[in-house]
Amino acid sequence: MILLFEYLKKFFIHKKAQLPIAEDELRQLNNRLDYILEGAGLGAWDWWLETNKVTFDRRWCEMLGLRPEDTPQELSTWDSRVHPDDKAKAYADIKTYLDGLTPYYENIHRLRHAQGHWVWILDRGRISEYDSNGKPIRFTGTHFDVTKFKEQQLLLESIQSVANIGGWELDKQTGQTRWTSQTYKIHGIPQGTPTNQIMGMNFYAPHEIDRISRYAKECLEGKSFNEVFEFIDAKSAHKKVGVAGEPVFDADGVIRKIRGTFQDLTQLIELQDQNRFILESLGVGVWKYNPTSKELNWDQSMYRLYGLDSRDFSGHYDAWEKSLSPENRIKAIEELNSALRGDRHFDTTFEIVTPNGVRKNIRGKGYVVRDDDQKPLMMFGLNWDVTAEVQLHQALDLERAKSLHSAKLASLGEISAGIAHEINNPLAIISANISLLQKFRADETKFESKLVAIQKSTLRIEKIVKALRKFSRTSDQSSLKTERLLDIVQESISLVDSRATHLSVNIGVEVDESLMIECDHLEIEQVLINLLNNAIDAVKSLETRWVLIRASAELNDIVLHVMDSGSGISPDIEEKLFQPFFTTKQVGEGTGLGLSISKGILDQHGAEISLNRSFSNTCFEIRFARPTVVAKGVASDGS
Amino acid sequence: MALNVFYLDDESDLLESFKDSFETDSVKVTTFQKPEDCLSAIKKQSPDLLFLDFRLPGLTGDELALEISDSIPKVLVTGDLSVETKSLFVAVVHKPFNHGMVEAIIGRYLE
Repeated sequence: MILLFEYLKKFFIHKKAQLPIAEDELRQLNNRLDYILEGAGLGAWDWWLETNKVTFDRRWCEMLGLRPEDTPQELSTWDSRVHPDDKAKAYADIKTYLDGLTPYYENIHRLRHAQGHWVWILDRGRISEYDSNGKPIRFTGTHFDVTKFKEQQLLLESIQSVANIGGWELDKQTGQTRWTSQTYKIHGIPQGTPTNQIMGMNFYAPHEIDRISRYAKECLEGKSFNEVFEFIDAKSAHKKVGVAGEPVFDADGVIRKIRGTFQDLTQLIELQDQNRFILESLGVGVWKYNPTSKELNWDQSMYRLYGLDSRDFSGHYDAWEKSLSPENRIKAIEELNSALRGDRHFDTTFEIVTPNGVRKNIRGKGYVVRDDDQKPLMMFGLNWDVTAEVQLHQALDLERAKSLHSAKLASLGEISAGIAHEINNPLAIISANISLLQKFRADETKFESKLVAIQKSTLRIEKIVKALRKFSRTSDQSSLKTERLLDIVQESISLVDSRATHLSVNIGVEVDESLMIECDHLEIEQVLINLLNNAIDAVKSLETRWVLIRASAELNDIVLHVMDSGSGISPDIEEKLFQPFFTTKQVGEGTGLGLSISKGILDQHGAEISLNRSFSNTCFEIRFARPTVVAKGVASDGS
Repeated sequence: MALNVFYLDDESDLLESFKDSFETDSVKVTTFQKPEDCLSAIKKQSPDLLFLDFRLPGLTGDELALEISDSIPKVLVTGDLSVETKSLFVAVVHKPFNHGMVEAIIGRYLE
């Protein structure tokens, strides 16, 4: 810190100090200054104006990544490093100060770091020495690295620019205004142009000037505002601007200035208008509901939907409740309340009756805005007319019911043809053997065999009739329960196990105990027993004999495979697989009803059975819908 | 020489009772449970009368009839309610049989 030491020494000599100051006292003072500069992160410079020699201290050099010993002590060291865009302003500020127009020199400029990047420097200085004629000969100052602050400022500016938000400030006393760069940009005038309140007002559309003046005046008296104004920028472009302002109080509680934001909303408002136009042309109404005050706000489309004149609308929740048709009033209200409680989303269809007596089906969707304690603050949503859709659905349901009925009739026809064949064969045996009983009355062996044949055939008929009873049984959806798939699988296996063991067929199970299906336990068991028996029959005469039941959960389905060591089913048979009375088994071994009954049962469960051909072994695949998980909140309602 | 009657049906009990019912000194009944056995027997010795079941394993009676010489009179036996027969058969017998009707058909071919 030789420089300062020299300076201080000179200073005291110059001042012709009355008391001689000891050299080590000076040194001590110098050390303290050095300590302060170091702590403040300031670099120092000392410029001899006559010679343009400049002494830069260690911190000055280090700020720019320079080594003090390699740094030429002359003006060009600084000059050559100043950013071209900043240089003119820097020299201008120096001149302004040296001309005595400012109390000190201050400028922010960029200097090139030794590594090539730019460092933002706050440069301040004052004349430290004059010659005997009063001419400044020495100019001394500090450098402060403000890159960090400058970057934050740039970030803020870019945020303002992206969001089209500017800032402004109005001094109550002077009427002077201060704008941020974005505010200048929205006005369409160059940044830095001096502004004041009156000049600023001139940008508003003529009919808005009174309004903005009034808000500014009220704000100066302590009242905040946030309004949209029509605005004409310097290039005559018409804009919509959002202006917000609030008073700034000083420590004594006196309003010294007001400040706020300034935002170009032109595009946003255009977009809003466009959205409103789209919603209106689609007939979608927008509503807002405050559950605390029960205040209800509707847009134009809502009035049209509900057949109400906006002048007759109370703006109260009761208006909506009154419009609901009596049949579904309680349900619709409960759905709204349960959405407010947070049990579920508001997404429902309800019926309204307009004042003219027209019934409409309205689809309603909404979401709830909550405070930190989850208390509902506001609810927003849409309504639209789905009457046509609902009617179409009803018509479709009717059609479906009709076609289901005719399909039932068709299969009844198919079945009766099949039944006839299946029953007529054993009947033929019975009838032929009965007439033979007479003939073989004396032949005990023959007589016995005829009786056995009759009995066997009778049992065959009985079996078919029993199976048919199951086939024709109509399902009762309410009997479906959520059951553990593994339990059903294991019970089914226990019923065929002895047969499988007898025929040396190994049955494997790969079913996770977490899998649940919604079903009638006994019916699914019947399906599985049937599939297991088929599989056992198919492999009983093969070299390798196994059957495997496995299940896995997919996105929406529980998939169950019943596989066996057989080598699949030929495609021509596959078509007939699920038809009643189709069988590949020996006469009397199968009724040919098993798979068709299984299919009927699974149809009623909303499940699908098919042959999965992606395996080389025979594999029947059953897809159950995954049981829908009931939310706890809804379940505990007990409604 | 006895009348040679063949009967093909996959119902073994029915074959047995048919044979027990209609075989006499003048009528010899040979029964078959599988179509291929029946066809190979026909090749060795043509029957005088052939009873064919309609629903056979893998094919129907009238499909099989197409493969057998027209010179052999054929009777279709069926448990179905209605069967569309081509003019391949001299008669159609519905199960359960009317004993007398079968006897009458056989009787027609007994000279």
